[in-house]
Amino acid sequence: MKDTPPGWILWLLKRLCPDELYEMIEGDLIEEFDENVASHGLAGARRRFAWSALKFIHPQIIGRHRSVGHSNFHNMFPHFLTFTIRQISRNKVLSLINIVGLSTGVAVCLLIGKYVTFESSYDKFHERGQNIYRVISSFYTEGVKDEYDGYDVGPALAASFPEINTYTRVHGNGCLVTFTEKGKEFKYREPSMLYVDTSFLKIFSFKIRQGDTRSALHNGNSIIVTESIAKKYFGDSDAVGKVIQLNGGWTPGLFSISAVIQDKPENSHFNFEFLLPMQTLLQTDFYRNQHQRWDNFHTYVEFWDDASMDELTKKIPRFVSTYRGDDKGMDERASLEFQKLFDIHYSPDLNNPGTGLLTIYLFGTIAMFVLAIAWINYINLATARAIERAREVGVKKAIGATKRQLIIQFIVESGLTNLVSVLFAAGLAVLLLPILNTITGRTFRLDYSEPAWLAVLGVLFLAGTLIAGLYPAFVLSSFKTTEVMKGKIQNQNRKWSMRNGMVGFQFACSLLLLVATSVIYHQVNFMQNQDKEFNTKQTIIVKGPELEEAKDGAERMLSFRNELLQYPFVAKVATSFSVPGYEASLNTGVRKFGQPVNETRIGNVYYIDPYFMDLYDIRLLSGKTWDPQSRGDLESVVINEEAVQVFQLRDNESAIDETLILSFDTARIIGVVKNHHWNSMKRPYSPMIFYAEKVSWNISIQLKGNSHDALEAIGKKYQTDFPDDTFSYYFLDDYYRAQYHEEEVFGQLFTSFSALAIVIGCMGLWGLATFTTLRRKKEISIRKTLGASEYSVITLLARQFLRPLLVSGIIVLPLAWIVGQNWLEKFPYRFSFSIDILLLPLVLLLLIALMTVSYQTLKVAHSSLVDSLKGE
Amino acid sequence: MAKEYLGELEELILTIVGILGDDAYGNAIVKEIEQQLSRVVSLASAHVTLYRLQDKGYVKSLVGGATNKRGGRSKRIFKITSSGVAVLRSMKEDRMRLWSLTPQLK
Repeated sequence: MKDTPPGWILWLLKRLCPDELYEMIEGDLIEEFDENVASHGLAGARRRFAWSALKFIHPQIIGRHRSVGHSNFHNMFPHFLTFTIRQISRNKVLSLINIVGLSTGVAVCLLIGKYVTFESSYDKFHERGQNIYRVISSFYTEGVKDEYDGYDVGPALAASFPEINTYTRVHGNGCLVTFTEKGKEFKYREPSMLYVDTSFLKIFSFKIRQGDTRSALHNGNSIIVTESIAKKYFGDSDAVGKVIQLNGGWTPGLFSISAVIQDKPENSHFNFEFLLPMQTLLQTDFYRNQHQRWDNFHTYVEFWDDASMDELTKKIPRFVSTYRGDDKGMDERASLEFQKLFDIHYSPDLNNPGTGLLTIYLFGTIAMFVLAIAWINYINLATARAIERAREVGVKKAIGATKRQLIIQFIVESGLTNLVSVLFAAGLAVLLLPILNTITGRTFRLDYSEPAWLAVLGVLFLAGTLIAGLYPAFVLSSFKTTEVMKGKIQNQNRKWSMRNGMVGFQFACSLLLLVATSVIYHQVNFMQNQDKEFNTKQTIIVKGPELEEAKDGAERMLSFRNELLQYPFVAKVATSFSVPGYEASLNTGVRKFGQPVNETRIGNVYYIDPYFMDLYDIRLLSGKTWDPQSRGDLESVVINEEAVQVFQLRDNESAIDETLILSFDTARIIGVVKNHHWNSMKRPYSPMIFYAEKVSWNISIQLKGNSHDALEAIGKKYQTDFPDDTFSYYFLDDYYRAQYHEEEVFGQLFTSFSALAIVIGCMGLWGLATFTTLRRKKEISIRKTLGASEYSVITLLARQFLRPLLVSGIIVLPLAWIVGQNWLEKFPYRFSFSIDILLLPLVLLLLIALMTVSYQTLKVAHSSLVDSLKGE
Repeated sequence: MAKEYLGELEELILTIVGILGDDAYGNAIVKEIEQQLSRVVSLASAHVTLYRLQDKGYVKSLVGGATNKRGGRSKRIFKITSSGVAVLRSMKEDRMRLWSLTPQLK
């Protein structure tokens, strides 16, 4: 017979069912299985078999014994409960360890569950989500992917592929909003605006609260605001129909609110407060005169249900060469692909897809570890008491208890402990939730009235009862009456090694968590303290005025700059369009003059003023920077070392006076500056091309002395110079720190959960130490009588506990090394992950374990010989 | 002795045991119910009900011969007892009597 049903279920049933019923039940099940194999296939039959068989775990069947007819399960149940309650109250410390351990474990599981379900719920609320894809492109540099593309990609795709139902383009912007309400004027700087096609609201399931969904963006000067903006601007009065003025930005002018949309759900990868019509943006001079290719749109497409992605992918190369034909030699390296909407959150870095998913798996693993540690505690403590319970089992068997009854009794014990723990855990999770919320910056809620949560609690209870209860139940109930009565149950080595294995496993889990924590901390620390190779200390960024760039805008900025320099607390002032930490102003194709077109690579273009390099202390390696007085200089560019490499300019010296061909310009190189970490340490150096402007829009100010007074004075000055705007600033160092927020959150969560895991593990170890050393009290007294020193006794006892820990530690360290290396791989700059980072946690954990067991060990070693020998 | 009552599933299974005669075991019963009434009863609940009927004395069971078909396992064959037949008959009569008392239901 080659098709067999899953054996473990039969194994389980055989142990639970009364012997006289089992064979026939098994026969019936197998008969049913064989028929199902014919009608449903092997997999289906196995699944049905499992279901069918599990239903036999029924009190009417497992509670039935010997003479079918009289079930005494029901009469015995109150007895089991009484016994359990007596056991729990007699061993208070032990029960406390069990309950505290289990409830912490389950609470951690619940919290991680909450976090993980949230992380994996991103964008799932869009009804047609599985048909929605984002267009990913890579141009110029093969394999380097980018979620940006041109505004013409969407329409071209829709025209070429019948598989596409509709598309929407998305373009982010920000500006200053002004409006008059009840005779008062209001001004707000709003950074989160999206220009979208009208189809945006059809593709994505954001709900319109007021106004008409279909026509909301049809009118060129209509605007949609979120509920919170409507409330912030107009309070409780109706926002629809109100007119607001956009100042600065791409499309200044008057806009009328056509609809109020729900606030962006926390689990959406979009970030917006305002939606504006795409056609308004595309009609501006900037985009209408298509001299340049503006690749700064996102394109989302929705496919028909029956679209085949495989066939679509095959057609992409032809599509690219049709539309990119004008860039000769380009089409070989340019390509498009489609990224699932659901994958966007999992892949914060397109060139390293799935890093977000890794985080989810890691936390899932922690949850499993912590729970496993708590369950193992229960198992270990239960079997450690085997000798004590052996007498009880022996007596019960002698007066006629069956093995099955004993198993049920031990499972009831485990069930009650688990029930209490799960209930505690539910409360504990609510208490710990604010901490999770603080760390993650989310607003999670635990609502136990949701059936899903009840189901989770139920599953945790059942799993805990069976996993923690079954093994001890079988071990304890299998003691033979005669042997127990003769006092033969002593050190059974086989069982002990099973327990050593489990303690080792607990230790290994804790060790993995501790190593991971230390790796994360080292890396975050490394990134924060690494020299950025340019100076951001005491520097604030003041947002330039958003208001319509008046004819005298540049002059006003220059005079503002000069006025600031008069202040004693201002060291240096520079203006720039690009701000450190933010994206480049442009990513575009660049090659050295004289190179063939297919040597074009992506370069990042930044607009700064001639004072910028000095303020940030970006070191010049060769050539010169711009002279503010000489106009001719401003048409030249300064590049960084990376650009010298990427654009094949040989070396810093020979790069000077070479010419670069950019997609929109040709520029002479006048200087090369040192590589520096313009963005966070999470990104590698990129080729940078600096263009100079006489004056630009964002103001960097380096302060000296008391920054509080300085900020106030600068704010006042700003308001007098730009009365129609609002003053906003931030410290650049704060911004840099915030770039590592994600890693910090990750690290803090990891630390808290591993600390809990270690505490639970230690409690178990302590309990175990208590029991086993007490057990050996007599042996130790005899050893001491025969002349053993206290020291030798302590080492003897400690060795017993520490050996399995050491062994498991050595086994698991290579694994920790691999996991750590794997995680670090996504960082271009990483600390040196050396062996001491592995060994330190091992030593630390061994010390903690030693301290945990030493209290009991010392107590026994010190105890008076007479007392312990007299005891029996 | 107070009159005994049967649950609906108990009555159904007891009747089926009667119908199947010498070949009434778990699978056969489940299949017969499915054929006659197109109703799906799980093996486990059939077994539970059969044991309950046995407790009440309406069926008796014996271990039947093993066949190759079920991996060589023997069957537990159930047979309706005379008190089983009696309780079915009295339930049927009660029901007929009550039905005749209903005013011409159509």
